[in-house]
Order: sequence, then C-alpha cells, then structure tokens
Amino acid sequence: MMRLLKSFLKYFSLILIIVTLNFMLPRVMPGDPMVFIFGEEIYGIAVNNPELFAQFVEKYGLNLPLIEQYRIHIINFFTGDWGYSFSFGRPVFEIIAERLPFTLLLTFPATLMSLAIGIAIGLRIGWRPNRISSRITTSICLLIHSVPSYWLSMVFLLVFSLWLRFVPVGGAPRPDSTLIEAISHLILPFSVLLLFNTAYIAMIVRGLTVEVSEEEFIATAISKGLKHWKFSIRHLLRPSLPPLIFLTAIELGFTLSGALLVEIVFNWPGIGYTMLQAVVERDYPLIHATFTIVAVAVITANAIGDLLTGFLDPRVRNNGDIEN
Amino acid sequence: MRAKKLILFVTIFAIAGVSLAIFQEQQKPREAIEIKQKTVLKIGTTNFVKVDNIIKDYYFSIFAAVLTHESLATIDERGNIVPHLVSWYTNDSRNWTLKLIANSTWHDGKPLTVEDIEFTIEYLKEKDPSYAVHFGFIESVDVIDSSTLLVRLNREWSMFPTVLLVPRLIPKHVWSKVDDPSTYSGPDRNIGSGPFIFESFDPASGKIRYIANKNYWKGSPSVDEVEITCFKTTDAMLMALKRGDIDITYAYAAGIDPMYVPALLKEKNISFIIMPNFGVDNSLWFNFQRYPYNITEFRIAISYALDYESYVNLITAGYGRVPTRGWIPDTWWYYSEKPKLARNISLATSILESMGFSDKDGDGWRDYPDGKPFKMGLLVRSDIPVNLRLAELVKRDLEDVKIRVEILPVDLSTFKTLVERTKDYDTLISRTTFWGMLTHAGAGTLYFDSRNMGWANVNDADYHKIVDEILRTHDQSQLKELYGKLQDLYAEKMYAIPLYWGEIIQPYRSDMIEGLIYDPMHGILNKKTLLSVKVKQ
Repeated sequence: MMRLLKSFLKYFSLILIIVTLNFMLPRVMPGDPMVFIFGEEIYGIAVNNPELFAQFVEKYGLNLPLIEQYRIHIINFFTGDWGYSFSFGRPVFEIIAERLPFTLLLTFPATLMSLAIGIAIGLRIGWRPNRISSRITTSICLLIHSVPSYWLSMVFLLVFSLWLRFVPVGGAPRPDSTLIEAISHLILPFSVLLLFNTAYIAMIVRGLTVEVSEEEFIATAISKGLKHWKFSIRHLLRPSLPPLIFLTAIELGFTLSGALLVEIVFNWPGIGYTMLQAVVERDYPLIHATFTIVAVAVITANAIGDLLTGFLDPRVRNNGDIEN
Repeated sequence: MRAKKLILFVTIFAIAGVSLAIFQEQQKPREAIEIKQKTVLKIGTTNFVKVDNIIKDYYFSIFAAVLTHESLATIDERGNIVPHLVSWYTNDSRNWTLKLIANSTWHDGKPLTVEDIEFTIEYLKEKDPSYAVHFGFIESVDVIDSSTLLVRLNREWSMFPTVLLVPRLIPKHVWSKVDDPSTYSGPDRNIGSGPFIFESFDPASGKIRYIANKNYWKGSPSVDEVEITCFKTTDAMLMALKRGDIDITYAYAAGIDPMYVPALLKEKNISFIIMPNFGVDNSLWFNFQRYPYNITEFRIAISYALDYESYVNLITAGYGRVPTRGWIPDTWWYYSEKPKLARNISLATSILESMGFSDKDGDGWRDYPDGKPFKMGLLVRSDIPVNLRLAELVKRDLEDVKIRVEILPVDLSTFKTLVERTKDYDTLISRTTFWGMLTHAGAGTLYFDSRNMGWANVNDADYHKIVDEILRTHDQSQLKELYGKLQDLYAEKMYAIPLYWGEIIQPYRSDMIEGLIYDPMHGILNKKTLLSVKVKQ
C-alpha cells in the first residue's frame, strides 16, 4: 500500500512538472502567437498600430503577467477547462477527440503487432546469433531501423500508390468509406510503422536474449529436452520480461503522440501533425493540451509497467528496486 | 513444418485477397463518375486548411475569396484593380463613393445590398484582427441610397481601392446575430454570393467540396463541383497529379518549386502554364537602421558580389530572369527600365576596401573599419527549402569577397517577430506577394517603409516624402512620375537587392481539363477560371 502511495505521489509530481513545463516552454520559445492570429501578411502592419495590437493581445489573455497566466492555466487544467485553440477557434478537446482516434487506429495495432512479431524474431535471432539466417535477419532489421522513416514512406508511396496504383496517395478515409477503402488508406502508413517498430523491438530482444543465453540455467533447461517454443518463452523470455514490460509500456504510451513523419508523408490527420501545427503556430492552448495528454499517457503507461514488474519480479516487489 | 507452411499459405492468400479487393475498389469511383456525368474540378494544394471558417483559417479564407465569396473589386490580367461588385470614384483621396453595379444574390436567395457591404466592413473591422488592420483607415461607412455608399477615410489614401480587393462579403442577416465569428460553426457560416456553394469539409481526408451556384450573377460555373484536397507535402501532391487524382495543383501567390519541373516534363499528360510573377521573388533585404547596412556604398558593394545568373539557373531552373537595379519587376504598372544587375567582384572588393572593410587580423575575413571582426547575419525561413538553398548561394558569393556570413534559419513565427516586431536582424531573404506589392503606397512600399511592415526598415526622409506624396495624390500622371522617382531611389540606394525575378509555374492535367485563366493575385484558381474551365469527359 505504501509503495502504491509513493508511486502515486511520484507520478502526480511528475504530471505537475510536465504541466508547468508545457506552460513555460512555448512561452520561452522565440516567436509570437499573434503572427497567426492576425495572419502572416497582416502581422507586420498590425504591430505598427500599438493600440489595435494591444486590444487583440488582451482578447487572448496574453497581456497578463506570466505568473497570472500560470495561475489560470493550473486552475483550468485541473478543472478540465483547457480552452479554445488559437488557430482552430474550437475547444482543444474537440480537436483532440477528432484527431486521436486516427492516431490510435494507426499506431496502436501497429505497436501491438510489432511487439508480438518483434519479440518472436528477437528471441529467434538472439538464441542462435551466429546462424546465417539470424545474421541476415539482424542485418535486415538494422537496415530498416537505420533508414529514415520519411524516406521509406516516400518509397512505399511511390511503389504502391504511383506505380502499382494499389492504394490512394495518402489521406484518411472519408466518413462514408467502405471497409476496403478504409484499409486501402491505412495499409501503407500501418506497414511502415509496423516495419520500423518490429525492427527496433527485434533488435532489443535479440540483445537481451544473447545476454540471457549465456546464463547457466539455460544449459539446464536445454538438458531437460524442452520444445523450442516452450523453452523460448519459459527460459529465454521470462528473465527479459522486466525490461520488455517497460519497453512495451513506453511504446504504448507514445502511440498517443502519433508518428509525425509518417503522418506527414501519408497525409494522415493524426495527433502528431496537430502537435507540430500547434508548435509552428504558437497555439498555446493546443500545445498545452496535446503535449500534456501525451506526457500523461507515457507516465501512466510507465506506472502500469512499474506495477506489472513488481507483480512479476519478487525482487522488485520486496525492495522496490531491482537488485543486482 | 506443415503448420508453418499452412501459416505461410494463409498469409500470402490474405495479402493477395486484400490487395485485389483494394485494387477493385480503386476502380469503382471512376466508373461511378462516368455514369453520373458530373464534372468535378479536382484541385490539390499544400495550403493546408484546418477549419472551415473564413475568419479563422487563412487558407480557407483564400479559397473562399475565389469560390464562395466575393470582394468589391478584382484584378485584371495585367494586375490593374478593376470594379467587381462596385465601382468607385473620389475627388480628394479621402472620401470615396462606391456604387453597387452587380445584381448579386446570396446563396440562400436573398439579394446582396449596400447594407450588407456596410455591415461587412463595420462588423469585420470590429471583430477580426486582420480586417481591423485592413479597414483601420476607414473612419465611417454610410449608405447614401440603395446603390451608393460613402466611405470616409481618416487620411488621404490614393491606394484605397486595394482594400476593396480584400473583404469576403458576408450576409448581414446571418452574421449580425453572431458575436464571435472566429468560433461560429452554424450551418449558414459559409453563405456567400460567389460562383460556388460550400458543401463540406472533411478534416480527416483533407477534402473540401463546393457545388456550382447556378444563379451566380456572372453566369453559371462551367463545372458542377470543385473538390480541393489538402496535402502535407508537395511530393505527395505531385504523385496525385501524375496519377490523375487531381487536375491541377494550387498554392496562393506561388506556383511549384521549379526543381520539380524536370520530373513532370516526362509526363505526357501534364502541361504547364508559365506566367510572370507579379510579386518580387526573393530579395536580399538590409536592415536600414543597422550599421553598416545603412550605408549605401556597402549595399551597392554587396550587389556587385552576387552571382544573379547562378540564382536564375540553380533556383529557378531557368524559369526566371536576372532582375534590374530598380527592384520592381516589369509586370508593375509604372515600370521604368533600369540597368540589369551583374556580378563584378573587383568592383565589390574595391568599394569595400575604400570603406575600410578589409582583413585587419589576417584571418582571411573582412573586419569593420575599427578592426572588430565583421559577420553578416542572414535570416531565412527554415520552412521554405528554396530560401535555404538561396541563402547558401548568397553566402557562397559573399565569401568570395571575404565577407563572413552566418545563415540564421528560423520558423515563420520567429521570422515575423524578429523582422516585423523587434527589428532584430542584419539582412534577410524573403519574397513579396502581389497583394503586398499593392498595399500601402504600392510598388512594394509596404516592405520598405519603416512606418509600416518595413522589412528594409527604411526611415530615409527622401523615401518617406515620395511615399507620402503617392498616398495623397490620385492624379494618374503625377502617380506615374512619383513611381518613377521611387524606382530611381530603389536603383540608387539599393535598400533591397532583388536576387531573381521568377516565373509562376503551374502544372495541370491537359488530358483532363482545359480553359484555365491566370490571375496575378490568386493565380490559376480565380473566378474567370471557374467560369471557363472545362473538365474533359
């Protein structure tokens, strides 16, 4: 119970720090939200009319002292009033509710699938790393992971959309789309994400497996004559579970932040591009909301990972930390 | 082993099945279009729309200006401001009489009246930040009779008709009930009087749909629908053009980057409309109120150090010209011929040496006359790849005359703040739009005058005197003389150096559409195009 309370306090303080940082960072960045409020062609004329300029600065509450803005920000955050986006003119929750499902539709299944496939591949290539098949697979994983996702996305678009004409040139499906149409829009960005995440996870699991396979208990397990998959899960995977659970937690937490470059190339209306737009346009309410949601998701996923590790590993459960 | 084979077989079968189904589905819309015989003009753009509110979204408002809404004046093919809904006259450049000349109706069938015009000006001036600026000089608007309005300005302003290009007229019977237009989302929010009626905006697919307004006062549009698709990258947009998913690409006040042209030239179904740019393509702007950029000789020395031919070749891919010293391009109404800019390194070097800018510490770079190391800051927008490439070329050229240059790439918001608000820069690279060229006293004065946007931050008394005289006069012969003087001053003082005069390159599917007309302000997407374009069946 004490451990739970400690964890709660730790994560609550973290959230408070994040909310504060999300408030401060856009304000210390160079630039001015009024550029987009007046419009880029008009801003330069507006600043030469100080009275008019001040009138609209006041309308958006940007004339208040920073400490007062912060006080309002904290109160609004905890009362759930996250305000209107400067650039969309709509409540930020409405914008997030519109974009987040698209992000989750793309990133959540891709992450889950890549975890399953990546772990399976990692175990296989980590157990016998010197086999030719393992070396080839490792090289492929390394290659995929080292290629910029932007470039790979462009290649996919070029091949499957322009040359083969299997799928449209990006964009999310329209509301009246059929299932097949929806899949045709989803399949390329999904595949790119799946490939990238799988390669990344496979490489991490490979490293963990190579390390575990040198332990003495592995030799005992082999001598018992266990089937390969039973042996892999019970003896190779199990000791690697704590770091894997953390990895899974972080990966799932970050699914909310979208996949910015993939979203840009495939014209996907996810939260990642929305965050970028918010930063570019210094849309403070939207920056606060999107970054806070992502940060809270990552922290929550970490907290769950923490709990699960404690549940699975008695060393953590008893001492609150992994002993060496 | 058998299980593995089975899994492999099922996987291959599933992938093949899904691919086939997708491929078949892709063919369906084309068949559907053929049956309906509905003509749809499909436009792709990187001008990304976020929300379908003309007050809030800059690019949605640009599309509205052409498709759904109307302004009071328009631009002819030579860039002159001509009457659209109203004609105008003045005797003193301060009191302007507007006459409603069009028999226009709103999309809901109600007539467009002078009261709507009066309301639009007063409402937008009060409620919208950008219109508050546009209409800032308007002291009052009074309805004189059912077809006449009197607009009184708070000062003489010969260029007032440029303001008549700006408003998207809105119906009083809709907006008079709305307190905050930036958050209004009622179903009547996009009612205008333009040739197309707003149908829908789907933020997920980035598609905006408009249907033809058969009752448009200038005639029924030549296509049934317009569909705009927003793309996040030019590469994806051009792939869609090659596939035939879109008929034309569009970017406000710009064409496509000339670097894309060679690849598009290989496509037999893609043609180009190439038009002169009525704005000034990228210039090197000096901060006139910062040493040594306030010294005319220094700016002239820089002008001799630059290799303009290379900018035309490397930046415009040959779709451009070497500019003249007069800065203003020959598309401008009162253009006066000036000598072409040319590189002369020995002249640049001798001017710099005579000013005392020489290498005093032996590090290979020029120093200030007092011996302090000199470095020129070059501010450039990081979100425009062409400008970054150009900045590298300018740096290369200035390094040839031993001037050290630091390129400072910043995003749009930072750029605008540094240049237009805090004036914290040495030099910068940026382009002007045609609308910007018209504003203030015209001829690009908006970008020079320190009392306005003033990228060149010019507070030179001679310059201000000419600008003020232009603002006061409405006599055409006097205006011509004043604009001549202004160009003399540009050539003599070189407050900014035009780096190249580019052309607007507009690709389109010649197998799918014909009848496009170019407009200097809005480019290929304008009301004339919408009335003349034909979608081939």
